[in-house]
Amino acid sequence: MSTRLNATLNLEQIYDVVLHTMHDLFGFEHALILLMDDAHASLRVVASRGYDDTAAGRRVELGVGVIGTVAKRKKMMRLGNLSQTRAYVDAIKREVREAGRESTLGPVPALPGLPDAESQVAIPLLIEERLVGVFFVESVERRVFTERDETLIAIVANLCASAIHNAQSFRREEMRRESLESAAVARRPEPAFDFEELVGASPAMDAVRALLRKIVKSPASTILITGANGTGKDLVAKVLHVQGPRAAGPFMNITCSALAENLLESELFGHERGAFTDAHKQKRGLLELADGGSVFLDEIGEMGPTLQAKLLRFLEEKTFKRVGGSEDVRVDVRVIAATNRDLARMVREGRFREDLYYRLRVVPIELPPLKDRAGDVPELTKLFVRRFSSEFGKPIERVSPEALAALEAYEWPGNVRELRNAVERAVLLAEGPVLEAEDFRLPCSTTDREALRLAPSGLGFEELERSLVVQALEMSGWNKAQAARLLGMPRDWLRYRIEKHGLTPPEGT
Amino acid sequence: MSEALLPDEIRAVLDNGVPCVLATCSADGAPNATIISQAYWVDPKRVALSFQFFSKTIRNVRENPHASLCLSDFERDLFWVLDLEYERSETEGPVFDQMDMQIEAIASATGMSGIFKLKAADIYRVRGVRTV
Repeated sequence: MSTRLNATLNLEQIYDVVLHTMHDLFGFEHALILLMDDAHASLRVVASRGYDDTAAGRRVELGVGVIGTVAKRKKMMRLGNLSQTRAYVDAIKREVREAGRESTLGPVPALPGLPDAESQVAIPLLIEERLVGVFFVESVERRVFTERDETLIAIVANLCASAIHNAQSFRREEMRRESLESAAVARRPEPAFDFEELVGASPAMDAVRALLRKIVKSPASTILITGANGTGKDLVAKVLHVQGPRAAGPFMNITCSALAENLLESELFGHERGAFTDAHKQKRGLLELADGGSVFLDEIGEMGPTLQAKLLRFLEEKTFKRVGGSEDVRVDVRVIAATNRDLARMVREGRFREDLYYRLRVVPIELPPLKDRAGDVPELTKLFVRRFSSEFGKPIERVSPEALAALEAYEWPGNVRELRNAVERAVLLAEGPVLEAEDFRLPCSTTDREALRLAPSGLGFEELERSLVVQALEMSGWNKAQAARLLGMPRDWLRYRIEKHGLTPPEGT
Repeated sequence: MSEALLPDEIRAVLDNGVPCVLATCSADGAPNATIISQAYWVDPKRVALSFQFFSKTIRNVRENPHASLCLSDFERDLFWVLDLEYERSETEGPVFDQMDMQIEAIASATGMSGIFKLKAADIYRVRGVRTV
């Protein structure tokens, strides 16, 4: 099954493979695949087996029925002996009616599925804990599901989720590439870029700007930007492109961790017609589309070893072969790579090629964490306040001196991104023209014991816990290991709390 | 008091969510039997029972922790009888969440969301197991 799923990027074929496999493995006569429709906050049936035509396109609200509850909680559920459960529920309903409490009964929703099902299994389709959809099977026979069944179904669902995610990513990238292709053909320079975010009078930022000034016009083809999450690596990459000699050329960017290795290879280097099952036509990759311009490879540390070798060859020789091709393609592209990883350490551990590492860091730029340039916080804050007050139509006049002092004193583990998010939230929720310290909802410093003292009126612990988890995830850009460290808890505990509060990463994280 | 381990065969019965009958007894000896919607495998020595609206049951087990659970095993066409001792009630954690999810799913599908809610997952230690 894995081979068949990997061989296609066609969603219909993926559904077909999964539905047939479930039938062959477990003998389920009835199965549904539902995908998340974020726009409507509901699930939609995209494929079915064993149901009539009315199943297609049916919707299920989150939290309703077995399917909706599994989607909401993001946990598998199996139910056997449903006739017994129905009889039990009916008995309770009779008692409720006899007690004259009928008004407490709600409407019974019309759900896709069999009214007389005896056993059901629903499993969430997850990618990095983001809900993609739900896989649902049921039977009118009484079925006892064992742990082995559960494990097998989970494996099939994982494969299904990955295949669907890859196919969706591929489809999105295709659309994005087509629009970029048109733009690249037109060769219109990008609109002037806003450099404002590189503000700050700190020595650390002075050093970064001095280095940028030196290299921006230089012919150095390869640049490596390092720094923690939220320090502005993507911004610096855009500055290098727009201020450099290639500004009239295209700027292409890709996040290496966002795609499976084979898709990333195809995106970067393109493919020939027939290179794999869905390669119906030749496709030019980002390197070709960026000819004369720049390519920004974000999260380069996540690139697999095969692609590392292929990228190194390109950096050395300026040529590459499309996937499935034999002809060398030559392009003139400045490669800007970025990572929050310690690449030197990855090299020592054998997880990143040493030769590629040294080839990339021809010009290294290290961006300082915001805590090392705390003096820049007021200026950055004012910049973001201007931006968001204009965007949200909120007439914010100023930030109080006490608030600026509190912002400067805070450590900002999520760096400029965290500061920007804090300002955005403060502006959005502000009720007056002056932003005060409490508007920024800064977390308490662990050393500030007074601040941690329980108020006599008590607190809403669940809400507090949720808020802390959300803040840690935002600060870390949804890096769970980092968020767990911020909260001082093991990753499993954090994962449990993410599920408990139904938190999902924002799109594109 | 003796302890017993749950046999492997009962796992599938518990995991497939079937209503079962729980018998308890007050401190002064008055018995009570009720149907509960879920019995849940916690570990080989414990089961969790859904506490939804059985005030008499929970009152009884707090006075007298001994209880008896009868489970239908449709596969083998027999009943399992478990001698239990009430240990504690959980209102959060993985066991509670799993049971709560199942009850929420059934409640929302049957129009019972207003009244069919898990108050606690009551954890019982298994003292004896037999089939009848």
